[in-house]
Amino acid sequence: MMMSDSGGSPPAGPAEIRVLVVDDEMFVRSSLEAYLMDSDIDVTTARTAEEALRHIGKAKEEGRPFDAGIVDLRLPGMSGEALILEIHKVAPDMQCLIHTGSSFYGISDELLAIGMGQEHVLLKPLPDLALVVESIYKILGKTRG
Amino acid sequence: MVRNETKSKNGDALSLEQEVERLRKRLAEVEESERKYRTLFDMMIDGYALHEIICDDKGKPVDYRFLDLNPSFENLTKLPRAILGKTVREVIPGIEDSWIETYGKVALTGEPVIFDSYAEPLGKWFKVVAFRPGEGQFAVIFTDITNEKRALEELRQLRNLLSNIVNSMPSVLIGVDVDCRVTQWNLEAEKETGISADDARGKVFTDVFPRLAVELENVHRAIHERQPLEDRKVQAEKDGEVRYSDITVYPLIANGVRGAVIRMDDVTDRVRIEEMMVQSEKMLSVGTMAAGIAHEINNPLAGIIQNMQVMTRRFSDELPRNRKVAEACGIDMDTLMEYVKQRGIDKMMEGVLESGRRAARLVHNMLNFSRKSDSVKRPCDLRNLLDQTLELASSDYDLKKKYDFRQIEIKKEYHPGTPYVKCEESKIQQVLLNLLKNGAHAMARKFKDSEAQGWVAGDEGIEHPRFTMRVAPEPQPGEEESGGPPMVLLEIGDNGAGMDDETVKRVFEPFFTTKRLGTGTGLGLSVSLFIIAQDHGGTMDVESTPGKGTKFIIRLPVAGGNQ
Repeated sequence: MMMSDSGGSPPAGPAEIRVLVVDDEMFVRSSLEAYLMDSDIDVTTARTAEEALRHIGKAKEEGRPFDAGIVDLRLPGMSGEALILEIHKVAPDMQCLIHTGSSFYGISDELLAIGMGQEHVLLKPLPDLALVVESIYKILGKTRG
Repeated sequence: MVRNETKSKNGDALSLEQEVERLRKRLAEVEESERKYRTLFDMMIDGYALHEIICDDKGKPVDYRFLDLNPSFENLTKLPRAILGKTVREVIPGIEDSWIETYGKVALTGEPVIFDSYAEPLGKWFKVVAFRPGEGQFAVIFTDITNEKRALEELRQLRNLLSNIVNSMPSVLIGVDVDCRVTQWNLEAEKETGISADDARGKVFTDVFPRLAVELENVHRAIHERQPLEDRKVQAEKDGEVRYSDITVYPLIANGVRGAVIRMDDVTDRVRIEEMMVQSEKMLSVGTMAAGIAHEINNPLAGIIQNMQVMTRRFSDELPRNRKVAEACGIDMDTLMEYVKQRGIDKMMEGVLESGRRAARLVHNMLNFSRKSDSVKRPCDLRNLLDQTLELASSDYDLKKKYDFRQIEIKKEYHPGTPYVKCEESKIQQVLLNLLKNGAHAMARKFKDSEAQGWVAGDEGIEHPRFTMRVAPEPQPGEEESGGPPMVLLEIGDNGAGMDDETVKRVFEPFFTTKRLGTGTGLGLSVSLFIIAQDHGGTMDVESTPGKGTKFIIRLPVAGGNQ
């Protein structure tokens, strides 16, 4: 984890949100990680879908499952879309956001079928990362604070 | 006399017998001759009749009597032999006086006449020869020339048909003889040159059709080698426009008449379509490539923009953790922030962020424009769309080569209460981009000189290139209703070179272009008009003054209650 808090801030408690960021671009990954951390969100990152699934399995075992995922679509190996469908099977409580460079990404029928919509899509590059935090709170049905 | 002579030579009885014999022979000879003539008379195909003229007391011909006629006469005129001895007025009571007059003149003066006459009840044409065989008489010979007349008529009709066909050809068709003199000159040739067929005939074709001068050698060769020769896409200027023609020379060798036919087809439209197809094929692949590249650019852009946001936030007072980490490092946060401010690092970070965002917008606009139209009309704010298009235009490489769009002053007159219109954004954007490009070209032409003098945008006093863009509802609030549906008016005016009336009239015509071939397809505005009028139910007009500038006026229907 980059730029982790060395200041030893007090733990946010059991209510802290856990997010998994999946992106193969290091600087996209790290920017999200840093921003979310700065926003008091617990972040784990993965470079591939396969790695992401390992993290999810481990988190489940540890009894600290992820609340949300931010998934890039174009990934080496398994695609982001396939990953989201897989997550829906193995961790149905985990909500996902799509973070894509395709400016006109339209959500696929398979994703629509599992209840995702255009509000789950974030287009790269985000003019303001505050949008990501807002979206996470929104899909988790929580208010900030 | 004979008798006496005979008597003096021989005995009386013998002489008499001999004489009788001689006479009999003579008679036989005469009879034989008479028979021959009679046969000829009876068998001849031509109708023959002999008449005697009847005059009144003053010697004026008033009637004539049939004296003799042959079977062919009966046959041809359907007048029976029984009329012999009767007068024409008895036989044909209604006969016109002119016949009697004509024949009377022949009988009285002895001057023969010859003429063609149509016998309506018989449906036949006759050649009539009338002459005077003896005093007060006239003979007529009728020849049935109906077939000849028909053949001639058919020939005339055929010639007419051929000339109609030749004239209805969309090609210029010119027949020339072996000396290159015009023998045929169709309507299209008349149209093309303004010279009539009568004036052109007999002249050397290059004199009456100078554009074809290049074909002179081909005409000689085609005739000599008896092979058709073809020249494709021959370029020529006509009324200030570059036109292309295919020219074919066919040798004529039928019946020993030597010469050639020159056929010229205007293929300008086809040439332009071909050009356009090649160009659009190229653009299509470039567009696909660009979309792919743009996608790839979004990722590094996200790396730049998003990290810079994190950095900006970490250099701020916003996060309590910043202060803690700074303290742990032995730096006072306020001092750090003061340093950042004094060294202008905060502004620089802002600059990186803003540049990144601009690049992102450009990529988005470009993708928006290049992606295949999905034919979905959405409510859209024309003011935004125009702004986006301006951004796109100012980064248009092709345009930049000739003219820097950023040098142009943009004057916006956006009405705050402009309603949305329902449109396909990428298509309308195509129209707007096209107008902006055209306008920039027109201003580049006019301001080439002043640019050399080194003016900069914003200079007062000197006229400089300027777009005036207006977006407003129509009718505007408070204005009287025009009766039509509510529209949004969008105007793009430039102060460029402008156009003359002739150009304005043709500006929306497909393939009409003032640009050199390969520069423009001549389709931009015609396609624009199509998009506005056919696709969106709007209107598109143009106003222009040479030297002053051009204004395009677009009206699009307001989106129905969906704002």
